Amino acid sequence: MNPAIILAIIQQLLVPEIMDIVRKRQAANQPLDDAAIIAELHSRAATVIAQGEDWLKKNPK
Amino acid sequence: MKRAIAFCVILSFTACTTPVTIVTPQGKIAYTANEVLKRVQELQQVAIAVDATPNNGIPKDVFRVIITFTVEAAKVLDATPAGWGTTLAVAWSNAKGKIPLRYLTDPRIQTAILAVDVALAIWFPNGGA
Repeated sequence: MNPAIILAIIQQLLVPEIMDIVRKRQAANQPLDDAAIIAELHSRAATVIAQGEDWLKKNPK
Repeated sequence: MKRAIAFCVILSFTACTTPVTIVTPQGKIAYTANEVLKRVQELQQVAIAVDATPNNGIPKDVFRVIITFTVEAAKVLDATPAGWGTTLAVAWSNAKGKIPLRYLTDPRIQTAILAVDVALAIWFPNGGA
């Protein structure tokens, strides 16, 4: 079979199917929604700030 | 060195795609900011860990510059998740300018520094460091 035809089949049929499976698995494994990511951002920022300020307090200039 | 750079690039590329479960503009903005903040957090943790190592050979002032940056970066990302780009890029550039090259390229912290560079380059290509 012509390699170009094989490549075209892969690109037009297989790749979209694979991407669809990846997206569905991603959605199933990642319960992260908008509210959760916003909360995670705030929580992570608070942690970085607290840890950093604690270090700076213990290591003054 | 090449492996470290490749690792950083791959790590940052995996963060390029917003998950399909995040649909609102605010959620997408928060996701981007959170991905950058993860690299900032890693940098802070590496700096603190290396500083805690006795006789590490890196002046305390270097760690102070890095951690001052990470604290300010976290505040900016938290307060203005949609408008952090310029502020963070300038702050990062200023912080790196205060650190001698031999410490910027110290292998113990270089990977974490590169990860921040790459994250800014990907998420803020017009002004990243």
